[in-house]
Amino acid sequence: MAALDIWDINSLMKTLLQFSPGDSVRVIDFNGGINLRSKLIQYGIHPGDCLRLLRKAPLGGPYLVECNEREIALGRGVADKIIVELDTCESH
Amino acid sequence: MRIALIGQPNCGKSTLFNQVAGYKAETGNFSGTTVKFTESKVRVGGEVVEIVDLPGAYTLEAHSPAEREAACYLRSNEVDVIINVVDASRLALGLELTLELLPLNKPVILALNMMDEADRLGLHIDGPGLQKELGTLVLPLVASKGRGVKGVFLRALEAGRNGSSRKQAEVGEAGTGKNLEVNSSERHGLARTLTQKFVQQGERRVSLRDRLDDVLLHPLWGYVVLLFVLFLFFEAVYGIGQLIEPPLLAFFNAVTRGVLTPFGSGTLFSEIIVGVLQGIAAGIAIVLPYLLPFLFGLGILEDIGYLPRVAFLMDALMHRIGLHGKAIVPFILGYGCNVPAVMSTRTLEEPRDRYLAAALATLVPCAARLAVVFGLVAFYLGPLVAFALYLFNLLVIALTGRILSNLMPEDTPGLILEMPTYRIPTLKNVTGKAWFRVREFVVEAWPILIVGSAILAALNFFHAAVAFNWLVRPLTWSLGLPAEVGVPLIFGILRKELSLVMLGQALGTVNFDTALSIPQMVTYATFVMFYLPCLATLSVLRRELGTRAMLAIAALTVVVAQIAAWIAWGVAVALL
Repeated sequence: MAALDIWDINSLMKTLLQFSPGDSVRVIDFNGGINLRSKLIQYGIHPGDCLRLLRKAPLGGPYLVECNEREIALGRGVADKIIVELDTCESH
Repeated sequence: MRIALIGQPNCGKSTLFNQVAGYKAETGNFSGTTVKFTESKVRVGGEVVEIVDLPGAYTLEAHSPAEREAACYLRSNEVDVIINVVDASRLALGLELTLELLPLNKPVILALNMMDEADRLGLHIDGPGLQKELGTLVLPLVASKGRGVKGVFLRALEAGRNGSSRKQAEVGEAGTGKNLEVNSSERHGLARTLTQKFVQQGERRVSLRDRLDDVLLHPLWGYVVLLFVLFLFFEAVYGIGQLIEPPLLAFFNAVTRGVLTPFGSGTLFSEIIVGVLQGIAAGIAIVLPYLLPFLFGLGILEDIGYLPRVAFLMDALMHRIGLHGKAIVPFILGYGCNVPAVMSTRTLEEPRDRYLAAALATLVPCAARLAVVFGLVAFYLGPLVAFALYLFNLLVIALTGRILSNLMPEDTPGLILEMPTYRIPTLKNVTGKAWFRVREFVVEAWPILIVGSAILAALNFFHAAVAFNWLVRPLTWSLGLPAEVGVPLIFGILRKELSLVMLGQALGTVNFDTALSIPQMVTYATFVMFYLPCLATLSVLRRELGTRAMLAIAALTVVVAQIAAWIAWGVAVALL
């Protein structure tokens, strides 16, 4: 998990924010400080883990994701800092 | 011997504690509700042991103050045996904490709780296999139904006598080191491997949870249900309150008369006795009729698992005032009593969020301030005006929140909150928790209320209170209120509902419409709604956030009250 060069991959990088309920994604990295990183890990979300986006709250509210058998609500600010790729997550 | 209970939030640790210790701990279905340790002496197998319930923590790497407390305590020498409670239906997650506990070199009992829930999910757990692999005792448990509880504590006692086993220390070493992320990632992987090895997934029964969430978290119906639930909740609380309060007050009036008869009235001594009695009565008249049903109802909502859903729904709105969804709890609590409301801000991770949430929660009208709004505004101007005043209160809180959050830029990532599974609340848990919070009022607020009431009686006896009218004359003058309201305003800080009782004394009549104009009543009620929280709340603010923060929040409430009262006056003159 070396620091990613933002300029290099910006156009390719997608965050959780860009996905819709029903999508399954794999976490690539967190675009945030140690504070955010450790907090997400504390809630069981690690790079390499699979997330299933369950629902969104209206009016800019949080996203609800399922990860490692837990359901976690993530504010949009947080969701925008989780770099993910679309993945069916069937093979482990 | 001292046994510590540790586990992740919502694993049923406090439920286990309550099974053996009676009603000593607060248990909840909301991350981090156990913010203080609770200790209890229990007789196990003929020996008296101390059992400590630690705050729920996902990891020993501390993030919130609650977790920091738990980690420090576990590492200390005071703990002889650790009972690690794990939600069996989410073993992979729970084992991550277990892997952190094993290297502590203390006997660890791994209690797999909610085995019934795991069974419902079709999970078959190979307990003996896991026990062999980890080298520590693994026991099944259904704490909510009391199954397996005795076994866990008896084995814990045994383990405490024998000390830690060698094997346990070896396995646990995979989780030691310095770097947080490598560490926790390793633990994550190891926990997952262990789970794959010892848990078999059978047929899963259809979950009610998803169907409930489809409605309760729905972008439209979710809010409809929320409004309906809150309406029912407050309706029930005030309905019960209005049933209990009049007979209670009548009883205390009779007691006061009975006590006064032998002493006669009009002496300093008898006045002070009346003051003390009034303080006691006020406490009972607030706690029993309003606060208890309120906390009981909130406990039910919490145990069902509805509060995190409320946080999810309200997050967007709370962001508008610079907080996130989790901070909704202090606000709801504030309508009962500001003291537990300020204390509940402890569950927020960031100091800035705690500060902001506490400041805003003190602007929420508590049950005592409700008495003023009801007695003055609802009684003389109708319930609709009182309702409008409540809406105005929400608006002012929102505006204050916006301004404050602009002054204190947000550096927090935002909401990260677990949605627990729904559970059926147990009477034991709910009463236990209601008692825990009522105790905060009884210990923190009530003594101050009684002392304040006695001091007030003494001041009244010497006719010294009137001098205070002139102290706040600039304020009352600027609000267009008569000078006499100075005393009820100042002494309202001791007891908020006094702002109404004393208003009657100060004006020499309880027919307030003869002494005050309609805009004056509205101005007064609005000012009382916002200005300085009561002394008990101030003392809690100081303890939680420090003296400077307390003074700043106090000053803030006066400024907000002043501005809000002017606006209310303007609206009242124009409309009423």
